[in-house]
Amino acid sequence: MKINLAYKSIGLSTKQFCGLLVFCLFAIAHNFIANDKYLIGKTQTGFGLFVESEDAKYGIKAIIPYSANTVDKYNRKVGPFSKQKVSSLYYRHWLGTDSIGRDVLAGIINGSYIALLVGLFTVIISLILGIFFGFLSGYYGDTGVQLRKPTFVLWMILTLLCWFYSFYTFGFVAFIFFILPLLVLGFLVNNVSGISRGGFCFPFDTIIFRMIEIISSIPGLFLILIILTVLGKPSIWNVIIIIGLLRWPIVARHLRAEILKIKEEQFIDSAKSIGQTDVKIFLYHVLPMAASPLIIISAFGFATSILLESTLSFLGIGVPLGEVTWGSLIKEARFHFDAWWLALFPGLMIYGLIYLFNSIGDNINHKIRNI
Amino acid sequence: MTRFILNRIFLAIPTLFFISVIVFYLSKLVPQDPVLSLMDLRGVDTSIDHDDVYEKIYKELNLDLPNFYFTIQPSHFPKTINQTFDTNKKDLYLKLLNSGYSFVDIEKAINNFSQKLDAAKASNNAADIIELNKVYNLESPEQHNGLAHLNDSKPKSFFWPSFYLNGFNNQYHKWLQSIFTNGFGISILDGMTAILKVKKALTWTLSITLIDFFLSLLFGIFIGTYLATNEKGRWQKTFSQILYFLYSIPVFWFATMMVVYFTTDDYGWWTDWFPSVAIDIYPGKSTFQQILMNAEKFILPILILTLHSLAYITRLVRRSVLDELDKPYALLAFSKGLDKTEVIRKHILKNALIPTITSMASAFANAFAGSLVLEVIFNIPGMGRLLVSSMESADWNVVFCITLLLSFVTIVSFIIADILYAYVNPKIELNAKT
Repeated sequence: MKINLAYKSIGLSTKQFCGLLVFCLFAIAHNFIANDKYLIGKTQTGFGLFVESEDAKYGIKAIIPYSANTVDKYNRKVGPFSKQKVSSLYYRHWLGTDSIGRDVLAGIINGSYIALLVGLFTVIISLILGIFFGFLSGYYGDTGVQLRKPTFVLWMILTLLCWFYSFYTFGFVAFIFFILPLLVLGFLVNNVSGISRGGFCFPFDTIIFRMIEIISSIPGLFLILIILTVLGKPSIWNVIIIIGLLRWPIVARHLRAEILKIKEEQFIDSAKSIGQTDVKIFLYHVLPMAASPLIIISAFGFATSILLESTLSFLGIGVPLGEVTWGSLIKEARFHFDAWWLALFPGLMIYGLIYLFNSIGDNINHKIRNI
Repeated sequence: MTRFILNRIFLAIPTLFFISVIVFYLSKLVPQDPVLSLMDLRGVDTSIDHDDVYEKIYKELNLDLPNFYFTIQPSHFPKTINQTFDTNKKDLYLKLLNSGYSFVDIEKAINNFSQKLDAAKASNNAADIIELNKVYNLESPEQHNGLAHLNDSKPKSFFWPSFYLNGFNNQYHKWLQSIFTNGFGISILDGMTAILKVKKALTWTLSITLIDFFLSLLFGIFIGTYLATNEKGRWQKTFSQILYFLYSIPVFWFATMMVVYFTTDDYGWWTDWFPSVAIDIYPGKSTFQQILMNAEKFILPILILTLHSLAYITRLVRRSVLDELDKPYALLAFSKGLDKTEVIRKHILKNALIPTITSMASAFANAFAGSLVLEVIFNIPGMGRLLVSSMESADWNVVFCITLLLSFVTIVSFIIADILYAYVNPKIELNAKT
């Protein structure tokens, strides 16, 4: 019997797939795996989810009876093999505790959730922006969009006005004002694609390429450090958004190169000749052809973002103080040389995950090269 | 070629301009008040009000000028908002302006209000003073309207943009000028010029980065070529696995592990391999002499950094040598009966190093980023540690100096990489985009 495995067709090995699955499982279910509350507890009023230990008479506890922030004041800085003051084997700290008595294993589980959050959303942000700008610069180039000169001048005035008002209004209205010029431009382009001469060529390629060059010449780690400190409010979402904003040029650059190759194919001409719109041509004909390099970049991007985030929390910048991440656990190890478990286990997790994503990227790359 | 170089340098100017604008506006967002920090440094007691001193320093720092070469703002905003040096009053103005009141009305209202406050103070009416102060600090939205309604003015619901040109007499221009004349202003910690502080730190960082860069390049090209040409060699598998391990390992974790396990004898007498991490500072010696005197403490950080970038460069070289070996000219060289080493040295390596050169710039930038973390761990007084410690103590002049300098170094290394690339490979079209 031959089972067709979807993950094998893109080049993942079974080990890698299982590793990915386990990581995602731990990250998504982190609250159910490590928690000091009853998962389901019987209180005086009835059954409830996540009931505090004092409120419940009885209930189901998690596998690890500690949350990442639970402080066990009787066991401060105890190792995995040293003697621990716990009531039963169930309450033992299997990977030790840190200097204020937080369970390392629970911290690692919470850290895997943060890692998934950071990796996933930075990749999503960089893909959205990268695909959008890569499409504009690759598909239209410098001469693909032509407008009549008066139309262009009117559009320019509209853009400046819209962006001015979006700066002085807030919330959703500001967002609408911000993207309105682009929507209008899309509408104009679809309606004037007939003219070929005498118009004003909109230099998408030049503008976007300069943007890419400017962003990639900024030293990433330093800029992230500074922006996060200037913003002043440590939050994991700030970290995610800034890493995502600094990573889209890589996606855009690769997608642009792919599109330049695909654009020459005949099926694009055929699609154009039956009157298909540009967006549809891009979504149905260009993007599927360019998907595999994007997947590879995303895999490597996942690894890089996790590395960046853990470096930031290792330096103690950007992530709120109470949040336990892999980087913040290793930060503790710097000040406690005798606690070998603090540096070892979280670091192994970071290493393992980066190794996993790098090897996934390599495998897909290998598969594509050998087709 | 000269035209190509000039073109590259010319293209770098807008990039530098944009980065400087970004950094300038970041410096405007900083939560600390620069005037107060400078007053602290000059020994003015900030617990008492020193309005005259504050105003003097405010003007000295050019904070009363407009921000940029031009201003675009709603038409009811005043041109001279920056001349209000009182921070509370400025916040009040901005809040009321943002909700649509015209500047003249607000000024009238505030004058009215301060007359009332003076009257209350004269009659010693404590309850009134507290009430009026609450209004002045805008603790709730009703009070917000209350102040402006003092003389029955109505907020505008719609406004037009207005555009002013400010000429060269603006904050950004003066800030740029002060970079060249003043060296980024002074550090608020010790009153030293920021650029001097950074220069000292840069010597430490460069001494690590450059050694790392050349060592990893030397060994990287050697090992990469070896791995590519001996596909079935004895050490092939071990080497590639070690390199993959080094490629994926986070620098900061590797360094922490080495420091925790191998600089003390906590885990047995045999684990005390390297000297402990504190750098000794010898006062009165030049930075370069200090680096030489601390040479043994550089072994571990340089080792870690080199191993890390070695993995990156080796992968690159191996890949491109393998690609070149597939090409027909390599086959021809072999079939002429040339020796393997000769083919590699004379034919393959020249071509294989071309993609390596383009990645060199980013490798150099990576080395800087890697040294940031290592400096924090190993307590080396380089750029990275200076940056982190300056950020902790809100010493913003130094922070922005480092950012601009690093962007400059990155841009220059990109330009050098481009020029080298064009020099090594005359085939490429000089004006084509990558």
